[in-house]
Amino acid sequence: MHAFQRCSELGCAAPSFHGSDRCLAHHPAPGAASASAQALLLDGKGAKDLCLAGLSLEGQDLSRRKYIGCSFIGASFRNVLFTGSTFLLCFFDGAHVESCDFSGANVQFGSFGGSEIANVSFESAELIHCNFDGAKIRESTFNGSNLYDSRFIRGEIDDCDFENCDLKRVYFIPARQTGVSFKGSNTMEAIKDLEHLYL
Amino acid sequence: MKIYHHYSLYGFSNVYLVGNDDNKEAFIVDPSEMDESLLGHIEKNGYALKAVFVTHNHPHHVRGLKTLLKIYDAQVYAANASVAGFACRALRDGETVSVCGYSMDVFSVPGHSPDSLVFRLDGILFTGDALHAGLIGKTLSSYNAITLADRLRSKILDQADDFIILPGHGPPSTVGTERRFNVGLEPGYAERITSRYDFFV
Repeated sequence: MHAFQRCSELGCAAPSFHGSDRCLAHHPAPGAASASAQALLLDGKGAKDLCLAGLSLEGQDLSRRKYIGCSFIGASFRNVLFTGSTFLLCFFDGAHVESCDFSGANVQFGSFGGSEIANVSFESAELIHCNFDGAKIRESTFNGSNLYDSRFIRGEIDDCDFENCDLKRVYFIPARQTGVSFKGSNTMEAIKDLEHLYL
Repeated sequence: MKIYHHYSLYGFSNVYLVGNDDNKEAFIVDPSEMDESLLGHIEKNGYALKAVFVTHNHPHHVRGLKTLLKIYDAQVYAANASVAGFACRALRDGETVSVCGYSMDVFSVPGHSPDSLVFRLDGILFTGDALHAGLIGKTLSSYNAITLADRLRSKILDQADDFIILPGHGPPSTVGTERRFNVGLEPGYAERITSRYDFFV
């Protein structure tokens, strides 16, 4: 699991960035720290136990890699390929994920709570035990995905497709949903209101 | 520190194995069941299982104790002196336990059950059924729900936003996400609880 060290800047409660005692905002060389983190993510087959809160990545290919116990809290990903990658116990809370590809990804026991997800493909992905509570998801597709035991509580979901998905034990109770398609999905096995909670 | 999440089909509950690779010691949180997969994780890593932490004494979280204690000589920690017929070291609110080279902080958060505990290891909170992703634990009355929500706010959700919540059921979360989006912490939620709710834990 990644470290939970606090930023050494007086009054800052943010987590310190990997390899430093400061968060990215108070890092003396944020560009170099980001470049170093990017190299770690791109290197080899993946990474473990990295705290990369606040990282910003654009136009990278991180497909078919494996990430375990990493924090991407508050990070920003734009045009990044995560195609076929594996994420175990990884956290994307509060992250901005735009025009990325998670198709065929294996995301297990992770969290996207409060994140903003736009124009992202999760097609044919394993999204098991994943937390999307409070997430604002728009113009994205989850078609053909296994969402077993995942949660979409109090989020905003607009113009998204959940077609041919496994929704068994999925809590689908967003604050708002417009233009959402569930064609071919087992919606009867999802929990869609608070009166039928099953824990 | 290595954390393994084990999903138990008995009660659809989460079991956590926490290992210290420096001293090869490990502990388990909420042994819902003890099966080959969990045993494999322990043995593959060569861990000596030293302790078991129980967040609350409900079958979905303790049924594996019987098998586990046949195999390993582990100290059980819980709110009471006995769980499922096994002697425990009783923990108190505010206590810190040293185990496997780590420090575990103990928070008493009754409401879901009188003996509900939350354990904090570094920035990781094992919340049992007191707090799940998006929801608080089931309670039998509005009073208990209000009490639980108050205690969660004052003891658990006052911690850093990036601290991780590993609940007894369902996906993980963070303190920041729960503070903003947990339905059980919404004003009026507790008052809406009635006996016709058919969920169980």
